[in-house]
Amino acid sequence: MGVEVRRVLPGPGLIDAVTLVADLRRAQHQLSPFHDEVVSLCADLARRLRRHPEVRRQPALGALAWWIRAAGIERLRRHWDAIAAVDGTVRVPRGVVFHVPPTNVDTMFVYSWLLAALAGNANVVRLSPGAVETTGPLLDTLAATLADHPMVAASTAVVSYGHDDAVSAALSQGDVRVLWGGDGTIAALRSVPLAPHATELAFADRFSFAMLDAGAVLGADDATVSVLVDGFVNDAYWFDQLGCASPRLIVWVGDDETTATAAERFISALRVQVVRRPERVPTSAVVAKLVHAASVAADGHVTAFDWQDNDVTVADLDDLRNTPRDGPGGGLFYRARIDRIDDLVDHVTRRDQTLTTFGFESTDLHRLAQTLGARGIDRIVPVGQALTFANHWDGLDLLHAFSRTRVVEVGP
Amino acid sequence: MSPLIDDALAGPLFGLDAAERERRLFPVLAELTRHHVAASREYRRIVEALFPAWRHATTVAELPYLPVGIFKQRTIKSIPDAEVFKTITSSGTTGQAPSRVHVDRTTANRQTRALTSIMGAVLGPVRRPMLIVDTDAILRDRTGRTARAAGVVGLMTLGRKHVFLLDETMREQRDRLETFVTEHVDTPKLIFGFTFMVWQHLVETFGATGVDLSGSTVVHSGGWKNLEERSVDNDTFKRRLANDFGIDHVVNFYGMAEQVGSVFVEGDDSRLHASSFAEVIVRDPVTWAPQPVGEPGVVQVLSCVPTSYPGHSILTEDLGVVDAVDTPGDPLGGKAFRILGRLPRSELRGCSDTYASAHGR
Repeated sequence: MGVEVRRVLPGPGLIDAVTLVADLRRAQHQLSPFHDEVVSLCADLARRLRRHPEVRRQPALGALAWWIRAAGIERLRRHWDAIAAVDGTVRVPRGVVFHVPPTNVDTMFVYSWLLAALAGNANVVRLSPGAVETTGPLLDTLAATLADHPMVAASTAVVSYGHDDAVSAALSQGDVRVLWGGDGTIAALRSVPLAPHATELAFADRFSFAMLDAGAVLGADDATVSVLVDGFVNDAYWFDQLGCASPRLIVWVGDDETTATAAERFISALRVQVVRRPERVPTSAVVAKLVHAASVAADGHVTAFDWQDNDVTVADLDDLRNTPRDGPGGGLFYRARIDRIDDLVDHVTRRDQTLTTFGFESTDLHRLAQTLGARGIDRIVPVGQALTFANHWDGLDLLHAFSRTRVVEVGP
Repeated sequence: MSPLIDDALAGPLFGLDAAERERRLFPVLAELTRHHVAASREYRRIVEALFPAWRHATTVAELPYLPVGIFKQRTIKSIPDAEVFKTITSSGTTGQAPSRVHVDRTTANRQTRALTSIMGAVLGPVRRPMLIVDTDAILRDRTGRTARAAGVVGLMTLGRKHVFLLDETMREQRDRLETFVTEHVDTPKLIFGFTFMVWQHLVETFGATGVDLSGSTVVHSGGWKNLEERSVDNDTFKRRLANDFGIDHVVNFYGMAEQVGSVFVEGDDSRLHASSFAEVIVRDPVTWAPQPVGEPGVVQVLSCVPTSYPGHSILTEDLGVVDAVDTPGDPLGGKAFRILGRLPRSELRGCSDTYASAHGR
């Protein structure tokens, strides 16, 4: 019995999902970790993306090109060598990986796919029908690149379908399923069984925030503040503040007076920088921010609300513990103050992902990372790097997760 | 506070100029703001956070307003649970939580009074035979009153010998229409329905069948959203009703579940007007200050009616424009405005729940 699915890459057509997984498994047998064909495809794709006219309008394409440049892949290879270097073992691919990327972060599926391919796996990527339209330029570039790399093309399929459990079930008969789409997607796909031996990587909805040292911001020169604010604007506004790593809360560390002055300096500079962007926050998103802040205020947790500027809206919280973690995006920043870094720890939840920081000592941040223990926060990175993709994501080493260990013990 | 509101409801309904309206409305709406601040902890907290200078307001435009979406997010009311007489819900946009407002007997009575007096001014004192372009199944919805049911039930008191054009399966009943026409020949009739339903179930279905409804008044509401896709605007709507049915009196009105009773009605100038116990302000979506005449913006609606929940000043998600103020010879007076449609829904990108949301799970 067949379950048909529309293939987008390589080469459009209707194909049988069960046969597809079998074909991919066969093609995978030709691959191995950091296979020359995959490595050269990365370099080729990076080159094409850099030259693409769309790269100017879509900085995410440039970021992707940078990430898969030769030096980037070389770094990943060294990391692979490190994790594979365990005596008495061989690190091998898992097999066929089924990726369900988020539709709206257009480039995400390429990172997910290439990391799995570098680990030596065959891959099938599910795009929503809507995503196929919005990712057009990227998909065209991928099609052209795959055409020059037949071995990788044979081990890769990008398919497109709506909500169809039969197709999802067929594609889940591989070895790893990767769900990037958030809580709703995870809930919808968890009911679709995996092959018994398979594993799943699920990336849930997350919350991220910035932590700034008030004294450091106040003491910084204008150029430093400008760089800081630039980075913050990229972190917050690139995905309309709705990326899992986009900061939605600003935690100030310092006394009342220093914080008040530093926060004023930061927000003023932020307003100047945000207004330089070509896009304005749409009115319906502004109204959504108003509704969200009003609802938090109704609970008694907003002490002041600054909405003089539609693009940068700031709501002061009575206490860090009352942070709402479901903000509507569009530049609504909740704000709180603590006296010392250590005061942060008790308010971190498992949902928290990226902590962007400015003005702290390395030793303090390392101590924080230790103290947090099993609580949330998977990344502590400087302001400006919230959205930089890394092999380590949500606490997982993806190259490691896309591979497995084969033990080899030879008798005397 | 009650005497002030009752005065507002008892005064002349239309025809006051803008200055007089402001003079009469401000004290009532300011009093209502103080009332809700005192009676609702949630409202007080919101107002103090979002409008810290609210106590210093000296004009209607300076009074606080709540974004209408807050009624979808949570319960905000100014009465204890025991005094809730009914809860009015509106379905809102697909996929969104419904809006819920809590009404006690006093507010419910005032809603009815307000609606009856406004519509009375439009239709005159005599109750007419009434055709409702909807299904009678809507009357069975006695519990959680939807805004649609509340609207139909509220308007029904304005007519008599009610006939519903649609059966329970939303199919047009030609025999009911024909009986309604033959039973009331030469009698002024009242036809009511939501704008889209009047178009689809009356105009499109019976327009070419030669039904004579001359002497009738059509009262409709609900907006043009679905009709814009079919290139039907107010002029087309009126022209078809006149040409196909001989109806030369068509009155649009604008209202919402969060302000039941306090409706804005269309005058002979084809513009909407506030009664003397309601007001409209079109706000600049960048500065949120009131827009000058002719500049479109976000519509804020104010009403002296609700005391059981703080719905006396609401920022809607509609776009509108004030075309004129105090036009000489305009019997309705005050602002003449139009609704231009809903705020375009934003397409913020984000990274979550695409598989789920795309398929309604």
